[in-house]
Amino acid sequence: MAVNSASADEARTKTQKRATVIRVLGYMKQYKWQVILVITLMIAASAISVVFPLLIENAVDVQVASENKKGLITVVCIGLGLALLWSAFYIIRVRIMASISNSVVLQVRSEAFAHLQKLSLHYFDSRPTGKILARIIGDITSLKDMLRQLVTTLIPNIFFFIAITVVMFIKNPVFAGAVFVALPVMAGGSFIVFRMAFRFWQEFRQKQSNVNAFAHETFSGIRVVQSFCAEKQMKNSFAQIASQVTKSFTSAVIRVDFIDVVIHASQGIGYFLLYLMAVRTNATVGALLAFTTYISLFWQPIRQLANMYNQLGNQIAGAERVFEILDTEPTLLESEHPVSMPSVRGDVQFSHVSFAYPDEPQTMVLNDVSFKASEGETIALVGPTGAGKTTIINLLARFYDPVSGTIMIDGTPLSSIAIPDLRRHIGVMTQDSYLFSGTIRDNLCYGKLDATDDEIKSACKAIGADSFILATPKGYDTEVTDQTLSQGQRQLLALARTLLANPSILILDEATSAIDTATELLVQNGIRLLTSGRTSFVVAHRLSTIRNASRILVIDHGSIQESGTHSELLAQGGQYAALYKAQFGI
Amino acid sequence: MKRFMVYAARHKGLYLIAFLMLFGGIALDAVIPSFVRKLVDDVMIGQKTGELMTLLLSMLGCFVLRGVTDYLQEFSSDKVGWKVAEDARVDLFEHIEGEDQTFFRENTPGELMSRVKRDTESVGTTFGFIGIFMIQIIIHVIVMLACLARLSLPMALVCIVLMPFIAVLGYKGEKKGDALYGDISEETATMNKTAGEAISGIRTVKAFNKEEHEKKRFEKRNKHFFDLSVRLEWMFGNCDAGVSFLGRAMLFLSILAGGLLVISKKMSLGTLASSVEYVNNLVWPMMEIGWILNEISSAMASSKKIDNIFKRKSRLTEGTIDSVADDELVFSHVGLNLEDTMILDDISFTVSSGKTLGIMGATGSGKSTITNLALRFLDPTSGTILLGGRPSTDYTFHALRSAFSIVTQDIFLFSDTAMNNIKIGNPDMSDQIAMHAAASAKADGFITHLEEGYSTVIGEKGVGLSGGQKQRLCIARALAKNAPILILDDSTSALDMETEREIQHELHALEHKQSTIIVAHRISAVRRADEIIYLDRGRIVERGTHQSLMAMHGRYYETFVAQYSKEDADGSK
Repeated sequence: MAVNSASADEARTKTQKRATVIRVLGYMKQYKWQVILVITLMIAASAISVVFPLLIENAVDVQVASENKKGLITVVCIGLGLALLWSAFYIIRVRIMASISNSVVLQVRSEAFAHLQKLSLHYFDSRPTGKILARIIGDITSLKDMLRQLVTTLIPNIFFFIAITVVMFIKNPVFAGAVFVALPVMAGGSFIVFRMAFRFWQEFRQKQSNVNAFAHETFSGIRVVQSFCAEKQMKNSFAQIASQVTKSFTSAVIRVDFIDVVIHASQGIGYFLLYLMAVRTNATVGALLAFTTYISLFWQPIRQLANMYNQLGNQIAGAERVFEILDTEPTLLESEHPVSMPSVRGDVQFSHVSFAYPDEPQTMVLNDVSFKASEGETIALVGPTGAGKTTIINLLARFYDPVSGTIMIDGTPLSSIAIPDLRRHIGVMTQDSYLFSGTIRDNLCYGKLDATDDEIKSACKAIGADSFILATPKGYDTEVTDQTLSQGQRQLLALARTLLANPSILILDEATSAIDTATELLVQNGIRLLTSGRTSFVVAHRLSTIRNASRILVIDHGSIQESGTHSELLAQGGQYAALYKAQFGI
Repeated sequence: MKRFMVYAARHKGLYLIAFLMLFGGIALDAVIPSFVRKLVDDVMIGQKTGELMTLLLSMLGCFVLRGVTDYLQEFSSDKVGWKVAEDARVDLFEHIEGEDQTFFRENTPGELMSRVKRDTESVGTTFGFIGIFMIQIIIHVIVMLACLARLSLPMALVCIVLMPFIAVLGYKGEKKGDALYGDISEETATMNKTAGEAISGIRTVKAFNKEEHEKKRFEKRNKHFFDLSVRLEWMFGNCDAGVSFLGRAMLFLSILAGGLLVISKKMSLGTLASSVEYVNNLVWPMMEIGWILNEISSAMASSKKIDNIFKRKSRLTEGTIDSVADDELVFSHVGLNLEDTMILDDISFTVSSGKTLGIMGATGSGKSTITNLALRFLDPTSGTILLGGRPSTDYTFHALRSAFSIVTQDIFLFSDTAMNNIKIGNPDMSDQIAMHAAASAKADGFITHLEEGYSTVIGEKGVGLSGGQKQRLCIARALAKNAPILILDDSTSALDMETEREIQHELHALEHKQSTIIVAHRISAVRRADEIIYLDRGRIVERGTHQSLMAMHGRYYETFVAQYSKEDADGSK
């Protein structure tokens, strides 16, 4: 069953904040030189900023005071020139930084997406789409924020902090010492604030993810919502989720913003001690005033570092959620020495196969199932809903691996076959006949991108989909939406899509359930065409679809109850015969 | 934006705190230097050491207070921003819920999710922290300019002359940013859609071995997003650099002007020195303009997207009558023409109270469209639909849709507990009623076997359940709604024969109590109906009871023969 619903919080893993930051920094290694350049530019720009007050002082105190017009104009021109240079440095720095940080986002996002595709179906089945999207689209931007902060705030400010500290101690060690006493207060305060807020940043991310999931789900199922008049109910639930977001955000910022008090208080303590020392040591006013200029420079990097440290909490919480995807081990692994299978005959063997879902290991969905299907045979799987028919198919297509027992194709265990080869030879038409946005043609070619128009047409004719496609406004170029196609038409397209992919082993899982009888008769011919010459597995409830199978397996309670041809099973007078009577016993 | 003003007005208290604290902070900033002056003048020079501690402690107190004003200002502006975002979210969500099918055809869930989450957030922050900070800066600039003008009008004029250039640069940056943010917002939505499809359709992706293909599709979006983001940041980099340069030019040029005045003896050196302090204080706000503009552009782009949704009036207008008197449903010469395609043509039928209508026909012949029209997911282009003797457009959507219980063809379940799925639309329903409905739909058995029974959380769209189990849950929730008219739209296709028969048996028991419309492919589902219509390409080609249709030897008869056999057909007449 599902791990998670749209409105419940995802589980939080125990976190290692430092490891997360280091991991983010790891992505910067490849941009080492650019980063060094950015930092150099920042230091150069700051050096220029330091010159500005000196220039102004010179202009007023020296040039104007001595009534030197030329000198004044020269100083102003130098000032303008430096301002231009500063802006030039700034532009270059921003450009490099934008390229680096966005490249990292680009890289991580595609890594995460690629990794996602490797995860087993169980991952997807157990959580709402909106929550996965929240991580790979939204949470990833926190990586960018973190990188930018680390490069443009952390490193330059540490540099300044050290520089100004050195200058202060050279100028007046006593005063510097007094100011420094305030630092532990500052550091301790920031640390406590950070620690207190972090949990709420994590919570905030979870709640935001719930907003995503709930909105996505409601809008996906809007017809159900509207036809059950559930708009109000949904709105109320949503309002609750939205207010939880605000609440967790408020809980985080009520702590984080407290950093303002910490900064000002430690600044106050610094000044307190400075003046106290000044009076006690009978320092001159000049010395004191000169020193206060340094103090304001001293607090600037500290203030920025403190703010950065605090935003880090939110960013780490976001980055963790992205890394969690990257760290989820795919449970379905390709064998270390995959056997490549350029072609497949189509002998399928299940021996003593049992299966349970990973999160419910006690509930056996399949129990000791064994059967054989030889090349070209059509095997029909029959049984009540939930009996395990789809599970057999999921195992055969290797969407899941069995808990015990082996499945073999042409005598090779499924788990050792190269996955791309396996999937190429097995064509599955699933229950939900999923179509992608795009044209009808795009969808038909999904399994064979280079299919020619003739191939596409003949596949559609064989399936009986050609006539309705031509009746749509733009024929094969009609865009597929929920509204343009009926459920039955979607199934026809999915069948044609499977036929075009031309697999050696064919699986049809309730492939024709939504198709009317007249069309189904047409489709039957198509299916006969599809199944001939390949091993086929057909799950269907209509006995008319099943009657012609080479063999029928009756599945119930996770195991095979009966096996045989239509007439054999009828003669047996068991479950199948009863089912048959149910349909035809008018 | 106007809409957001309304939300903002709801939280006056928080704004009041933020502004009070803002002014408190300004006042404290003015007070703290006076302590320093006293310390220097009285204690250090005047040697009144007795006052030292009082002065120092008062100063420390002022610093702490300054921290508190900053804290409260920042906290209340952070909070108010999210409050505004929350209000917008809930309103937008509710508005979207009321849209019609065309809207949902134009906007995918992924896009709408982006609007509801990201766009509201971006406008919200502008109404919180950013907006308040911007006002703070504006106040600051005005005060500084006024002080400067009092000391030296020519220097103030230099600044005032340069400010329009800054404004133009800023305005241009904002416009470009607005457009780029619009593109980014679009791209975010497209990226959500692309990734969303690959996630929702993961079975198909894996079955066709198409992981690489999906990766490439996503990569294209990802790359485009990268390009846009970089372009945006570069653009704002230029804008920022330009504004910074102009700000500094303002400083140096006003010093030049002031300096020349001093040299020509029109101003004192002392006045120049203090004027420079004020100009200095005008420069730093210019450095902040860049990122504020960036945020505002983003908010403007988002607010446009949100406004577009609100502006679009649902094409279906609601009536005012809020209850349905009688459950007779009449379709009279109903036609539907969409994009020049005749979907339905001249459909007429009457379902009187307690009667059953069966609808058969080929895939795509318009069967489901009839149910969509009945519930007003769209309106017919000709003819009228009457419910209880009145045009269905007279009713409120709530009243109209309350008259129907529907089991749709596409199975959609919510990622919630089995119980809540059954109770959808009526959370106050008693567990007993819900369980009774589940029993009638033969869903009771498998639900109780789930790990946590009715409290088991079912995956999105019912993943984890078999097709038939999902369908039974859908039937259960329709039965639980217990509306006067029940619509079953091909709702037993995924069921095995035995279960289908049992459910049909239950449904027969409801007959005569409830009007029923059954859309089906199987004769067994419709044969007992009071009237059966057979559709072909949007038209009714045959109609009658099972007996009369069999006697006609037409399409219905052929279907029967295909499903059973000729002998059965002739025998059953």
